[in-house]
Amino acid sequence: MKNRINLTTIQLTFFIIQTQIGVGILGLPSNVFSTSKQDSWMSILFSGIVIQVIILMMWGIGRRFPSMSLFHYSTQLIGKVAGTSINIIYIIYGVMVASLVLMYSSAIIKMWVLPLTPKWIVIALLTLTAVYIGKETVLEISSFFVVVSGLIVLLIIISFIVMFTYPVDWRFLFPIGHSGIGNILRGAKEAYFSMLGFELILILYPYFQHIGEKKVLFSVSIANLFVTLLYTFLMVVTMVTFSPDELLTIPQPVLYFVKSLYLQIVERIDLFFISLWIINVITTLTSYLFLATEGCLITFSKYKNKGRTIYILLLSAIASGVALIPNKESEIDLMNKAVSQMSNVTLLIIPLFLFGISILFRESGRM
Amino acid sequence: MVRKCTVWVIVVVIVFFLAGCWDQRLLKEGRLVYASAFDLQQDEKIKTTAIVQDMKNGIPTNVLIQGEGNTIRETRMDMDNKLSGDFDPSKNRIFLLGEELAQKDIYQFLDIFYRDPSSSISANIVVTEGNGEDILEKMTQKNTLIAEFLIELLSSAENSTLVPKQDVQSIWTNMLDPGKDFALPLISLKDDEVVLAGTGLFHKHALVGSLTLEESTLFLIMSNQKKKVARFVSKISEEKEMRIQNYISYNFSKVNSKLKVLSASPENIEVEIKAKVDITILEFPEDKLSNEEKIQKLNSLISKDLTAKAEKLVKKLQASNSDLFGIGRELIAYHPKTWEQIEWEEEYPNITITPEIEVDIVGHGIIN
Repeated sequence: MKNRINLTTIQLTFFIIQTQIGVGILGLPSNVFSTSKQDSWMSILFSGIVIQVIILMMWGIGRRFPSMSLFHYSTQLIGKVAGTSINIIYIIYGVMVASLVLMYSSAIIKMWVLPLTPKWIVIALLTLTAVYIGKETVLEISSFFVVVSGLIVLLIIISFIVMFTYPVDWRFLFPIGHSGIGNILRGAKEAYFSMLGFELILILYPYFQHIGEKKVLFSVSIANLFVTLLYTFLMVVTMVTFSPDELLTIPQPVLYFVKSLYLQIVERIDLFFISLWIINVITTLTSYLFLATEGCLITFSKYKNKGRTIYILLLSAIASGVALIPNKESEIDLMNKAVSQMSNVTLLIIPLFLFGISILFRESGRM
Repeated sequence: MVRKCTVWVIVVVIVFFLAGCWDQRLLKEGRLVYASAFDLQQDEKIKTTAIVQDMKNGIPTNVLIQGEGNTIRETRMDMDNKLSGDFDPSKNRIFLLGEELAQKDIYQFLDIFYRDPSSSISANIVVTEGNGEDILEKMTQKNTLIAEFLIELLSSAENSTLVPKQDVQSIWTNMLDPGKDFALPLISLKDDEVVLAGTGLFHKHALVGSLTLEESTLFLIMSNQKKKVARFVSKISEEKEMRIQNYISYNFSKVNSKLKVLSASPENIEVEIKAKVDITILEFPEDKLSNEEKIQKLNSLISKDLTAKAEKLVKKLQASNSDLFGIGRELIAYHPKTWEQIEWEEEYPNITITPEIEVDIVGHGIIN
């Protein structure tokens, strides 16, 4: 309890940033580009706006129950049974996202860096690191996230180097607005799924309630703004370095442009880049395992009074076990579709539903 | 104390798991390839010639190996069988494409470099007159450091604005861009010497023609790609007594070239390339360069000569259908409606491109 006092705005901001930036960052430009072409950067900005609206909604529920997380007020709002099932949906969602992150990241690591290393080793190393951090309290996790955020600066610097040393062609960004609103919106949907992670506000709110409700909104919005701008920046860099048809053939364009850098004696900077990126993957993984663990602790604490470590170990074992199943990219994409569908439920439908109920019945946790 | 011991035990045990034993590639087991040439044989089989460097008594020597196959990878497998150790092309700094192969479709042959994460896509790439293997073979006989020689030949040419700076990655961008073509340095064998002959013009994926070094410099000037120096010689008169007196040599010191689409209607596309260049005189036996009138006269003479040369260059580019200036890209970006209506492939040779070069003499060395 006394730890809460030390939590600051900055920590909340970086918690969200680190959760949002993850596996998606490498493939995002290519995915978005395949639908919205040269207007992809607009898609990303647009999805940033959409996310901001969702954040506002989630914050709206959070401020009604400032001392409670989603797992608490779900049961208070709609009753024990329904509330518990909502909690279980979120726990499953957390585990599924964690395992999807593991699937994508281990596939990319195997493809780019360690072609001969067995997949389970990569997955085990990632999971164990995430468990090690995730079993701690919010204060420790968020402090870690703040520290490793310095690495994001390095990623940005590398991208800037690319932009200035590489023969870029700004004309690849033109004609502006030519791909049509429909395609831009569809691209925004692609971008949106790479920017998930802001939903952590649902469970982080009570830990940060002492900084004030306005500041909570402010710091989450700053995180969203940062991630949106970073993604837009990377999108623009990839678009000016690769010609349109080329970009469609490269699934991880951000890594690819780093790979084509040649700084006198240093080659294959993509390996360095991946090492930095792995940290971002681990932080995302940690956040979702944390989400699921919190859910378990709150939902089942009355039945089994087990510690955080046991829960996170169990959940991560499930996540990494599931992550080992798929062998092909198409199977991972199947999982991706399932998680996307599920995120619609967890990010839009359930929060909206709870928000509606809390307004209708003027229910609030502020006694 | 016990706690400390356990920590140490754990650390020691973990260290063994961090070494990445599966994916180590030891330098002592690999045979690094420094340069390789790809040629097409009569039956369309690929022949790869690779230069592997060895140390003999501390002196690096070149070993030339060749492999044949239907794909680049197959030629590598073939070469690997002829080598002790693993054939390792990941540090290859230069690729030579034989003329015949380049005329077909280079994209087909380069695919492996874009696909393999360990390949060096920042390596230089050149086309050769005739077969690439001949050049490497000739050079092995002379026993120089082949790859280093070629790379230095290229980088000095790049710095003097003789050939465009390209690598395996950058040409991929152009190959897949319908609105822009590219050019690669062209090297050839002349009297048993390896020389830079000019640049090879590409259209889409295939070699379609070539430029001389002079034309190539002019192209680079007109597309704002001047590097450290760009020297040029113009003929400014006909009737002087000695041949040398008819010429003037100079260096481009500042280049500002603009490509402008004057008319973009699908029936009539007009493009203007206007370059304003500052030059410094390097060689002019007539002297008297302090005279303002004289300088004005020289300005207009050189401008005329350069513009005439530029017109010839543009004709040549259009004749070989190589859109080096990226006019198509300009249309895609700023006149997308026109672009959708035309068949650039057929349109490009017929559009009107008017080059104009305006010269201003700003320096003349340490004498007037």
